[in-house]
Amino acid sequence: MKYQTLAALEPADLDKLVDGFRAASDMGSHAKDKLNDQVAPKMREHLDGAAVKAATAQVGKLSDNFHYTQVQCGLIRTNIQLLKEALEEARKKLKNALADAETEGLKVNPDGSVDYPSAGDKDDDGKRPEGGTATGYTPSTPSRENFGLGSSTRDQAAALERQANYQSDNPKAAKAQAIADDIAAAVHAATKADQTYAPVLRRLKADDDLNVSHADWADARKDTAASRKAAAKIGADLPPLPKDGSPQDNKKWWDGLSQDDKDSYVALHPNAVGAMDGLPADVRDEANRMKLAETKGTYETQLAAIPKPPDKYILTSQGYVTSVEWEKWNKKYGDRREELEDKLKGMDAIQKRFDKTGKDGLPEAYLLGFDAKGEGDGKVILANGNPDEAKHTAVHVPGTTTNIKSIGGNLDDMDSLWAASQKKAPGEPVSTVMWFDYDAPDSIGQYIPNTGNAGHWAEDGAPALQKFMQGTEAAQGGADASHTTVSGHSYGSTVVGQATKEHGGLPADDIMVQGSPGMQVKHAEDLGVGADHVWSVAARSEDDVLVREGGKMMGLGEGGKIPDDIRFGAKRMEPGDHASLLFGHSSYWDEPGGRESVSLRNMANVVVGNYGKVETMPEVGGTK
Amino acid sequence: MTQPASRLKRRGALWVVPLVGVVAVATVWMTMHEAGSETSSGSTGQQQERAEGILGYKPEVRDIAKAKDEVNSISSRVLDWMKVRGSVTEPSAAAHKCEAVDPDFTKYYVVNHPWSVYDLKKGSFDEAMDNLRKTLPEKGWKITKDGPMRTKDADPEIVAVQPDSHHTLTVQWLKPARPGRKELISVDVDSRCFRAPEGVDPYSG
Repeated sequence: MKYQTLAALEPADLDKLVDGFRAASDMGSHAKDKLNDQVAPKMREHLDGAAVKAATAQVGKLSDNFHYTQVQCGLIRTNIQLLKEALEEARKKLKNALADAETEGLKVNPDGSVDYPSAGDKDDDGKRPEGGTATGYTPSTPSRENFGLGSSTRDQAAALERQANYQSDNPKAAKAQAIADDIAAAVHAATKADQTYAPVLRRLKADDDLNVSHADWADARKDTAASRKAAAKIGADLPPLPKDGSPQDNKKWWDGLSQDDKDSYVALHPNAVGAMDGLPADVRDEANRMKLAETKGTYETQLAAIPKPPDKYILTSQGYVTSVEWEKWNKKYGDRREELEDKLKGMDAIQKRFDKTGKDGLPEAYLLGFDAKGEGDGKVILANGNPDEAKHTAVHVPGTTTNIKSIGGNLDDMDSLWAASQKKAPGEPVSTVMWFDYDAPDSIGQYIPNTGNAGHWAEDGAPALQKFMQGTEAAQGGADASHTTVSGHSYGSTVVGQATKEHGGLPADDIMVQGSPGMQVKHAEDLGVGADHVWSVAARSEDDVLVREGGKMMGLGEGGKIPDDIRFGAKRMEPGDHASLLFGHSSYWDEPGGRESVSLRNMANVVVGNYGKVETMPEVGGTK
Repeated sequence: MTQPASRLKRRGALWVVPLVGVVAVATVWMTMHEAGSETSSGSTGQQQERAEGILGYKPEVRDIAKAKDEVNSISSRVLDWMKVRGSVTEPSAAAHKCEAVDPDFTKYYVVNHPWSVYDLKKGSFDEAMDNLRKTLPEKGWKITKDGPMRTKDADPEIVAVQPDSHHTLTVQWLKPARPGRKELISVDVDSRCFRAPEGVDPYSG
């Protein structure tokens, strides 16, 4: 790039492009939301059977197209915006240098070098210092002109010349050199920005078919990475991310950003924004949906690249045997394929919840956290209804064996809790959140005998839960903004108990546990919300007894006490009749025949603060 | 502090034996449980016999729309019997799975209609409950419970069953739980399990 090119450039012209892409991205976002939150729900309300399936599938495809448009245009907008800012800064620098040259009466040559005249006054030695030309310094890179050779000698020569100018007897020489350096630096910065962004913007050109494929989404992820790299390379002027900030710090930081910077952050750093506690729910949702779509595209693409397995059994003279080809295939691809399929199953479950919005009045879903890997089993945080606007918020921690593969069941539980709670507090927005961001034990057996510290999953998961709760409170606007219940099922209750021990405690009004094997505290009072606001429900079924007694045995309850013990001091809720004598540990949210179970009704009454309508167990006559 | 902990551990060791036993039984039962839940296996006759074994009655084959109509019509009669006027929630009866027999919701279903009446313009909640107490037996319903719920608020509850159709009715007069909340009577009308006609998927209707 020549300096005249830069001087003639009007970066502000790019504003029109930025605005255009912003409008396109907003249109995509708006159209997508309208399809998801209005059109599809109406269809589900008014159509039945196969018709609704076919119609909503088409709407889903269209919505996916708009989502892709939103993401890609948002990324293009951010790239052009950052390119524009870089060019503007370079141009400003150049203009200042040119203005300086004019003031000093120095002539700028087409190659950016600056001529200076001989000095008017004679020196001490009676000679007039001679005029000359100052050439600006550019950090040289191996290029075609010098064949990648001699750059250091060239640099050295240039450096010597510049040094000479700065120390010259001719006062104009130093000035000319400074101006030439500024011009060179400006041209260099502009060239670098141009060269950095040209390939990024070229790669953002979508193919021209109407179908957004898995590969397109996988590509979008790479586009984001490339854009992020470009921004780092040119030193884009984005305020830095808060380092290890508290959720309150995060909120303050976000609130202080300009809309442009917010948009750029969502486009370039969806992972960081989506995971940041304290940020508004709709922002996190936007970022995480982007991450979800891109991850799904990437995983589907990888899965499709795995060759089909050969026949597992082949007939030989000894009858059917496992084929060597299959064994080879299985060794190479078996585990990977299973992993990809499991994670995709979880992602599909999230999508299924998105598609349920509007059914039986279910509100919009907010994906507050997503990662296919997370702490090992994956990470999914999903809210029914916007927690930032909720009058009643319930955050639920699922327990043992929770895994992204089976997350659909946990999401269903929170749908049921939402419906039951909202019914009990009409006009008071309820949000129920499924929080899964810890490495859950894979089986009850894992914390039964001799596996060392049975509480370590809870100790590892508790800080993240506490931070999430603090973030929720910050985003809601303080402790009094929403009546908050933290809920824990099975080992999830151990995580909840542990989180109350974190510095600062757990910001909650009520704590409620189902089938708890122990909460790492001796007494309900120790949880910090008052024993009157600690609620426990325990099914009468064998599997629930097994979990509770197993936990008690392993010391998950301090002093051998667990929430179902009368001496623990929690309010023990009536569990109702469970499906069978053996299985009831996972039936707390059941709606047999479309009616909320007794346990679900009781939990919902806690969530909306209807304490007087909770059916509790008699506190006398127990043997515990 | 160390003593109880060590005592706990010793007790823990003893616990392992029965615990392992329970796990084994549970595993076996779970396998049976899962095998048994395959409603789609066997002939229609076998499925019906199995259902009768679990429920204690043979589910009638009934058109889903008809089953919903019956429940909706009970709901509107119950509202008439209350002799009050007010706002009534909108949704109508819906089919749900008959969990005990067909957890996958492929052939059997029940119908449930939850609704409530609030913002009374004529009559009182007290009168509505009294009218039901009087009218239900007159119309052939048998009241199986009439008393306070087992909660601190002790809201009044009436449960009744229709001996011929086997529909059940649950009526709860829920007084405001907190200031600003609405007082309402919540009603649930439920059917027994039915079997969908051949070729009809109860899930999608």
